[in-house]
Amino acid sequence: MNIIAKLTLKTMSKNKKRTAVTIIGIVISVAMIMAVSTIAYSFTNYMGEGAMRKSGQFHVVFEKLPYENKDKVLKGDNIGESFIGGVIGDYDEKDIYVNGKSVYKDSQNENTIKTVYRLIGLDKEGFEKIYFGDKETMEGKFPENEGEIMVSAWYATDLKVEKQGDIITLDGKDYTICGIYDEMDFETRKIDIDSQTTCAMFTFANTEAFSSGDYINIYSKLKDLGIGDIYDNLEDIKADSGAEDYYDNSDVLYYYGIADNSIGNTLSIIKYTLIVIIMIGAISLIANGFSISLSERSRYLGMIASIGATKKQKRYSVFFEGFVVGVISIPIGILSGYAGTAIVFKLIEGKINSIIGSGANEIKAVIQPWIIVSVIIFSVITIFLSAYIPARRASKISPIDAIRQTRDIKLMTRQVKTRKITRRLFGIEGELALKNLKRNKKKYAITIFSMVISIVLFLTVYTFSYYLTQSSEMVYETGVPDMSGVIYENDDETYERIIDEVSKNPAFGKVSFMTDIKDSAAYSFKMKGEDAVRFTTKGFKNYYEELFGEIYNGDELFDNVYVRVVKFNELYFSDYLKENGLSYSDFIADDRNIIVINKKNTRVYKNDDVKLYEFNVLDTKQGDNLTLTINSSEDTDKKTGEKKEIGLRIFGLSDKEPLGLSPNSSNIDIIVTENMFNNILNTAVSSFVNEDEPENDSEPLQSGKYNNEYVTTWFSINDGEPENHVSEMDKIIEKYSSATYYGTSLYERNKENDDMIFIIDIFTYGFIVLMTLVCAANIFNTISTGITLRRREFATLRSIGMTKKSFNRMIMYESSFYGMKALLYGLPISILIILFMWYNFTNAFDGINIIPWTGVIISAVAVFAVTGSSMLYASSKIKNANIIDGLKDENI
Amino acid sequence: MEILKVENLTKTYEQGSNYVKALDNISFSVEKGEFVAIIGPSGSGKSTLLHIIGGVDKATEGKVYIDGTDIYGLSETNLAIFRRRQVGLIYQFYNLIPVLNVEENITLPMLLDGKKPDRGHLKDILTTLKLEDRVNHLPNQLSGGQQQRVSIGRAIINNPAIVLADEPTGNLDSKNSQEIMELLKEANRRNNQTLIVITHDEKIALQADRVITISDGKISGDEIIKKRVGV
Repeated sequence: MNIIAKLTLKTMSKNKKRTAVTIIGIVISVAMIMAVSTIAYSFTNYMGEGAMRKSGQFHVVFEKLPYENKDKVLKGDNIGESFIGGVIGDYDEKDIYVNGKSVYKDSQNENTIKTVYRLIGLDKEGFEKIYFGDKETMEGKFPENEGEIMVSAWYATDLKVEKQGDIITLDGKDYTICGIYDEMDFETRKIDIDSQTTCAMFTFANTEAFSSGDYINIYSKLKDLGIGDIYDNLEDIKADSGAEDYYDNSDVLYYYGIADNSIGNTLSIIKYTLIVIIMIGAISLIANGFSISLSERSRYLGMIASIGATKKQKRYSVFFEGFVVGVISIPIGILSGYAGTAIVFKLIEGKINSIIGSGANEIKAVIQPWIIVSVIIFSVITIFLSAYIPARRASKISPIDAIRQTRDIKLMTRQVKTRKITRRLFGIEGELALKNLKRNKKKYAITIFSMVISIVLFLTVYTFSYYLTQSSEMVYETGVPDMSGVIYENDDETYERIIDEVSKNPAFGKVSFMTDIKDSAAYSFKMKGEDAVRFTTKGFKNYYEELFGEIYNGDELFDNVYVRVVKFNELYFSDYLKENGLSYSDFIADDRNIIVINKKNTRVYKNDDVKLYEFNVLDTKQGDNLTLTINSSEDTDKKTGEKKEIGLRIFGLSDKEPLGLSPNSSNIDIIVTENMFNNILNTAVSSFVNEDEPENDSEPLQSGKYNNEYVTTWFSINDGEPENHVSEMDKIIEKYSSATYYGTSLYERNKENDDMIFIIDIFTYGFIVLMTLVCAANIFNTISTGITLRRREFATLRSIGMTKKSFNRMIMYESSFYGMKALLYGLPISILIILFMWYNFTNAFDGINIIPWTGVIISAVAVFAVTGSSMLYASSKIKNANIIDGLKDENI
Repeated sequence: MEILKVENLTKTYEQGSNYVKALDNISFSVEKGEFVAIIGPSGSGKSTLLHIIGGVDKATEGKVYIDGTDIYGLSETNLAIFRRRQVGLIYQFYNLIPVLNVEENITLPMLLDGKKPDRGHLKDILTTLKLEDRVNHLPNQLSGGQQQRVSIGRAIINNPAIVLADEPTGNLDSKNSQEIMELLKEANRRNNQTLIVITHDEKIALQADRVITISDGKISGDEIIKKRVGV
């Protein structure tokens, strides 16, 4: 081994503490990079797998392509494992009969969106691989022969399919309903605004019997999801194969971070930002470590320089230290990063499994060799970059500096000036402290820079976690009720008994019954134009502009602010008002009274992008009057353009939506009294509905005031015993022979969302803790070494009579000045970065609170705590040392 | 044969708005094998002169030739290499590398060259310096005198053109001082080693062949004390 290497090794082993700190620093940094890479890969892998189980074992569906072109898909670029379904036929409502009766609704006109029912034939494999909802909520079974058919509960009512055994006739051929499935996590009911809705029905088919002339769907997995824009490829395959369209399993692809939407892209950006953040932290810490090592070694390097070491040899000394430290730290870092990830996954296992339904896999720490290689490469680059500047400094160490031992206390060519006020405010200790900081500008700058980096890193990571939590709450809709649906009972009195029983059942926590007015082709409800302009907030205006700006011009936009009118049952609503500090009796005292739901948390879909919004709706107060207009829709002959006005009065504004009223629509939601509700409805119907053209089918589905051709009453249930909601509701409804109900349990979905947020929190807070440790270690290292190197100077001060108390004060001032300066730079820079992050987030999420003030306060407190304690720690060792030893200090 | 030539050497420092001239237009030369003592009061510029001659500090003006080579015409790298082979430096405070043992400290100039020392030559030096029993000791395990001897060993291991010693006995008691001077004179006699010693001690100065006196950055005296035998 050459002498420089030997010398470096010996120095490193002599200064075990400092060497250890540098090694630990690298280990932590490498471990973090490894952890982030492992987590990212494992997580998306796991979610993709899990989501596939939920939505189906495929990433993309190519729809209705000629059988003879199947290889164009099956053998297409990037196409993996696939299975086939047959497109047996597309049926218009005119061609469909259920139990002998036509399902065709005469009242359709040009504007009604046409619905087409597509019969798809799957074999056993197909039924297993496509997810049709939880087995428990499915009625019946999958089709086992070509005479059986399975439909979705979503459209079953429209088709008037009620139960298993019903016969549905498609274009003359009979099928027996063998199953009604409740929901699907991916849309086989496609809605194409311009032309038609296609609803899928399923029968059994022997896929091997397909041949030329048949049309098929091909459900495929993609081999590699990480290869850039997969959609170009899919477009090509679609064109090539003559497929009607292709549909991607967005859920799955979303989790892989490549779904073509803002949220997916934002998450990708964040992933890479995280890695860059760690890199910066790592380089800062490690470079600092090398710098400190260099300061301690500068005398040796000067000595060997005086004997004739070249620049290259001096530089080599630093790089060799980097090499040694790297060889030790990198493998340890990789192993601990991987192990740490595996342990964290083990801890959250239970939570993860609850997100995916039964039969879910566990999340495992998974990596590929390329991940390890890239972590190693990154780490080597980090160490090299960290060592580079210290190495250059080393090469410049001249023998004369070492001989004179003046390196750390340079000969000043000019006085260090401090203001008179410093001495007056802070005493001689403060003045000394300030001079200490000012005299070695370079070193001071490096220390401050190191602290600034730490502050910025901490705040960046903290903010990232803060945004992610906020935005994930927006995405994952934690406010959705556990169960909701519609109860059908024509007798009002009976209905009210049911309402009472449901409301009081102990298994149901909070229960509400909300009645709203069905969308009508004859009339619509809007806010009067001038009221809309006057009362809506900027946030609402932005949102509305985004949504409808292309349809309405200028002021026209505000003539078309739609209002949704609802009422609630007394039992629920009086509680709700009480919670908002309002009285139900006051509310119903004046029929003009309304409650406006003043907060919206909603999405805008544009092309393939989705953007999230959160904002206040109106800028009004209690007592303000506003006018509701009932307008005739353009297409009725009767009274076109006419409108009726109804005066309303703001009784209250609520930020918290009542149970059952989701803030997702673009309407302004208002809650009115029962009398006003009836008034509004009657006005609308009598003014604009043509008696000769009844609104809906001649056979009213329901009657009574709760459900009829004009209104629907929805029930919503939250809390209580969500796992028992469905069974309890069944029990109640069974007691009333004429009553039926339809409902969905969103309990499962909610739980999944809440668990997701919990998991995100674990990761982000874990990350914050580690980053904080790195940052604190960085500051501690820098400052305590700076103190240690000034041993001789401190000994001098003590030798001329400075008391310990005075000494302490000087140290505290110095650390405070460091802290203040660091915050002075660190906070503005952090805020700039925060704004940058916010801007990226608002591409997908609108309305996030920008500055996490808690984080700012924490960082300020932490900076002073860390600098203070570093200085105290280092100076406590010096303070109690022998004065003479300090004066003689050889700085070895 | 002229082994060292110093021409119009000037060294100025900036101190606030003043300029301090540490060396003021110094010129002299030294023959191979000469033992020269440089004396002068504190702050006269002796150490500065030595460091410039040794290539360790740079003059503001002037030239230095060692064995015919203009040392400041060399690149930094070449100067470093030149120094390790042709210049031996001995300091008042020894300046040994604390983490290297005696053998390593002595052979350091050769090791920097990537060369292995000739064991016979090394043994000779260790014996002369009376360090055979201390070969593996670290500097903090040696007395002042022993450390300075190691320093001398390092300075002469490569048989350099000149050996420069800055107050080599400044940190030693009289007994050790004498021993050190004997060793230096021995090296000078036996190997015709050119030796330049800075000292403020007249007794030591008088052991040299020639005494140059520096005062206020200028040469104020240049006296031959002894005529060298065989020159």
